[in-house]
Amino acid sequence: MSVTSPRRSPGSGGAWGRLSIAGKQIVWAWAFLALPVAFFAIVRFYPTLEAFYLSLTDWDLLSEPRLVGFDNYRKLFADPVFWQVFRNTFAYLIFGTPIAIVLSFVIAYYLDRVTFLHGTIRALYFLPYLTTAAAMAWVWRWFYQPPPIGVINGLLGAAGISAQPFLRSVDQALPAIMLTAIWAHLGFQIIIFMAGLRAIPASYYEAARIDGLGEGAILARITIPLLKPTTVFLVVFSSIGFLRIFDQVYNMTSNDPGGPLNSTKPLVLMIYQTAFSSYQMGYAAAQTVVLFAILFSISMAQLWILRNR
Amino acid sequence: MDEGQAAFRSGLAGMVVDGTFRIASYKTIQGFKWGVAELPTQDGRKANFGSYFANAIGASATGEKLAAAEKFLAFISSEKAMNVWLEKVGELPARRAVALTEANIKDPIYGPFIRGLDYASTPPMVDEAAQRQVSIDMINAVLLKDTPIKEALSAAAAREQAILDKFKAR
Repeated sequence: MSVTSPRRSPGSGGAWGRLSIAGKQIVWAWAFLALPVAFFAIVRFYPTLEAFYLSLTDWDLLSEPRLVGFDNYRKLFADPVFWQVFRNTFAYLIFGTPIAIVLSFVIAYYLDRVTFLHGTIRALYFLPYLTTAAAMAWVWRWFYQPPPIGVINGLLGAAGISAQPFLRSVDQALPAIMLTAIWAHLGFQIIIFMAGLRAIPASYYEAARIDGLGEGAILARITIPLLKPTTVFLVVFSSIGFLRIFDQVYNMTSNDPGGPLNSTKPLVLMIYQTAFSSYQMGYAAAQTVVLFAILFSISMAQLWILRNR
Repeated sequence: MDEGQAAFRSGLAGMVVDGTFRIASYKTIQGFKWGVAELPTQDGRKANFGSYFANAIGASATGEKLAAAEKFLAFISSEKAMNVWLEKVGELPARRAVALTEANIKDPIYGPFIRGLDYASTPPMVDEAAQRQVSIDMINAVLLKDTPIKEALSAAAAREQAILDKFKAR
């Protein structure tokens, strides 16, 4: 090989040879970055921009998209189902996020002090996070069945409480599904909170105790303020999760997706049905643009409210 | 679970309204005996539902592929193939010579299904998922929201008509 290739004399390496070491490093960095950049551009950003265009068209996947202006948006805002879905989506967010954050903080706070079987208990809390959402949803769906099938109703019956309809009720179905979603993500949030708790220097606590501060005051003055970056991260992360909830709802109500009577249907499920069972791609794109606007504004608002002053 | 056929199979539901396509699965039930009856009547009025599916060849198929597809279609709709379908799937096939045999009409399982076909009707189906949803919502409105039956029925009729109109407009 080396016999046939011409030898380079020093200083005659063309454009590459004339680059400084820093310049070469930049070229290499971009060479490695090119793949993820191309991936994101093609798989993420291009479809996102395309969705904005599609939302102005009428398209059924087979024929050419036809521009219809803002018709899809007018139709969406006039649709009572959309407003029901909108309320459902916010119900998941407004109740789900605070419950999940407070619950995971309380568990993390106390788990942090437990030394007996600490690793085992932590693993038990984390286990649901490793499980497929679909499998988990089906197990919970079974829990919620009417007697004699459902476990929860079996326990209620043993305690002398009348059977509850759960997923068969327009009032109980959404909280029942939300609980499953909270439970599924609890482990992850606990682990993050515990990492945050461990990162607070022990000397702060020692100083506070020497100064005679009670446990309550330590929690309010030291622990919670210093956990703010962790809390901000989890609030934003959890909110995005609840705003785009799909797996649990779809799998727990697959006989009547989003039912009964649309009482559990979130925006993402409505988008899915519009796109992949009605094939109204333009209308579905308009719904995704609305979802994007909601996600974007809520995340921005949360970052602004919880920012460092 | 909350699916009728699963509850029936496991002995947790006493009755299930179902089609012949489920027979092969029910025939594997070990724990109890079961039988088939025609749907109940109201004031002597009988009503039943029958639907079917058809095999077709795509309009863009040509040449060798078209010939092969025609050959397969001829096989799949032959008496021989339909007998296998009846035996393995349990579903009554479309060919009268296979479905309406003396043995099937006298059969305690197939008999009631065949008698029901006499007065069965097939409503126009243009969007199965959407039309199914209309019926589910109608029943849920009555059961879960105490909507008067007449009101729920007319709301469902209006939604169903909208789906049909939209299909015809194409």
